[in-house]
Amino acid sequence: MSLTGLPLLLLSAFATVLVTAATIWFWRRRWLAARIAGVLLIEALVVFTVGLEVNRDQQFYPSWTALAGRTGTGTVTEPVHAGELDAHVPPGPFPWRPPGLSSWRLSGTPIVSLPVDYPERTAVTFPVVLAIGTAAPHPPDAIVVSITPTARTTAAGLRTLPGELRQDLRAAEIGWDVVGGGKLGDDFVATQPAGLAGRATSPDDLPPALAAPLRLPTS
Amino acid sequence: MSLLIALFLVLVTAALVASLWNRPGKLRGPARAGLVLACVLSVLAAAAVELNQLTEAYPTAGGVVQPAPAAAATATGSQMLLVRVPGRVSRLDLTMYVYLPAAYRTGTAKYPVIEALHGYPGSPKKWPSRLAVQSHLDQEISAGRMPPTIVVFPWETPQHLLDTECTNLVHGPQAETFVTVDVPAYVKARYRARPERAAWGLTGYSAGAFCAINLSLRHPGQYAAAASLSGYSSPGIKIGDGSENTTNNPGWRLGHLPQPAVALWLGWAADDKASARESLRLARLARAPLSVTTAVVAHGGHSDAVWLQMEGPSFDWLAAHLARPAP
Repeated sequence: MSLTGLPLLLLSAFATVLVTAATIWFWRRRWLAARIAGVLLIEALVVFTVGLEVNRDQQFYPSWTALAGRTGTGTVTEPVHAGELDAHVPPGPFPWRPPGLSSWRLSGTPIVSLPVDYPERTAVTFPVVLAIGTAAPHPPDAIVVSITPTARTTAAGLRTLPGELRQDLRAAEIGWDVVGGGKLGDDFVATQPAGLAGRATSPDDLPPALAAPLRLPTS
Repeated sequence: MSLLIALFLVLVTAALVASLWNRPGKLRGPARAGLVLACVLSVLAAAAVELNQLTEAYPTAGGVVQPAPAAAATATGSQMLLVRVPGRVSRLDLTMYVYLPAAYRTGTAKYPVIEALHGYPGSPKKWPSRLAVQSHLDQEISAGRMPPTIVVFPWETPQHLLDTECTNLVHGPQAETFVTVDVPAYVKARYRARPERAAWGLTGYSAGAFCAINLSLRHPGQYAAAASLSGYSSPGIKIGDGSENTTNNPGWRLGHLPQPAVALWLGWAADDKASARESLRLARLARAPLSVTTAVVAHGGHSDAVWLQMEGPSFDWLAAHLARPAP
């Protein structure tokens, strides 16, 4: 029987009437215990009936499962996936040659700098600074990718860059800071999913390097 | 304890009405009326006590939280302080819980800040009591899923049963000003808090979730991200100027105003139909640069079980959308 259904509400109301009638009948016989039990039962049933109606109206607990405090859903933590280059990263800046490089139409190979302790911190992902045709800041705890665009480089062409970087390194899905690039930088931010990248924030405003978050299913 | 006392009174009044009902005397009628009244009052009191335990609307018997310098401090761990915030602009003078992470004791860094807002009826105390927020935060920080963060839990109303939805009520409390002006000013002045917009976020459950969404959309220059645990797209109250249908209505704002570059986490239980419908509406209205992440649990309705389940994921999400602690 549903917690918010009419049958339970009617049953509770009927039980209240029934117990009230029985209590009145017992009352004349002056059985003290029966009187006390009757009063307590009436009170409990009235509160229960009112509670059912309020809950039916407001839907605080739509089911017995909800009332029992069970959500039927668990949080999950997906392990941080190792980047394909994780086992091969050299100390210091290195050239990055992902499969989609040619479609980006850059004037040279992107240069990547990693935090010095990147190889040891295998359980975290790092925010990214993408420097487009400019000297890149090197904040701690961040991956820095420097690219040099040409006249043929477009934001649409660069759309695959975040995915390629996450394939190769433990780069965060959000919290990218795009430095330089003028209109190309603006367009890059605009063509990525909302929230992935922002423009030239202070290095201190980058999010931290974090372990894989707890997640719930999406809608 | 107070529920046990209330239930004992219910038992006593039931016993009195049963035993004294037939006692003869000139005042029999009034005496019976008094006995019935005592029964009714004792039941109402027990129900009220239980409801208050569920909502924490009145955190103490007197209804007033007394400030204490270190309500839940341990030698090395995180701290949950209770402070009084003098609202210089809003003219509200209200208490607030402050969570300081363990690292705050020894470090010199400045930390990001999350304002966590309560439901209605309710109080800030529900966060540390029924929602066990201190242990949730300790756990997420120690697991490396969020950095050390200051989290504050302000009141949203000076009158426990007045629902402000964190708005400035016409001829009423200026709750929005308190939450968005006085609380940040107090936190920045008293604690090693990062002042930048990128380091400030909002969260809340139920009415507090509406607050988090609405305030982040109304003050995108102050808050970078907000998490909504079973929130709504409209306030459901009269503000006094009709703005509950326009500028204090996130559904209207997303449909009629340019959307700001803030990030929203919208969580709800699938069987919480009102929150599910309105949260989905907001998610569908969102356009870049506004970003929305959704999270759904299967059951739980509009209850603590849902919010307990959502605390960890929502705090982790906020951590990833806020600036890091700064040296």
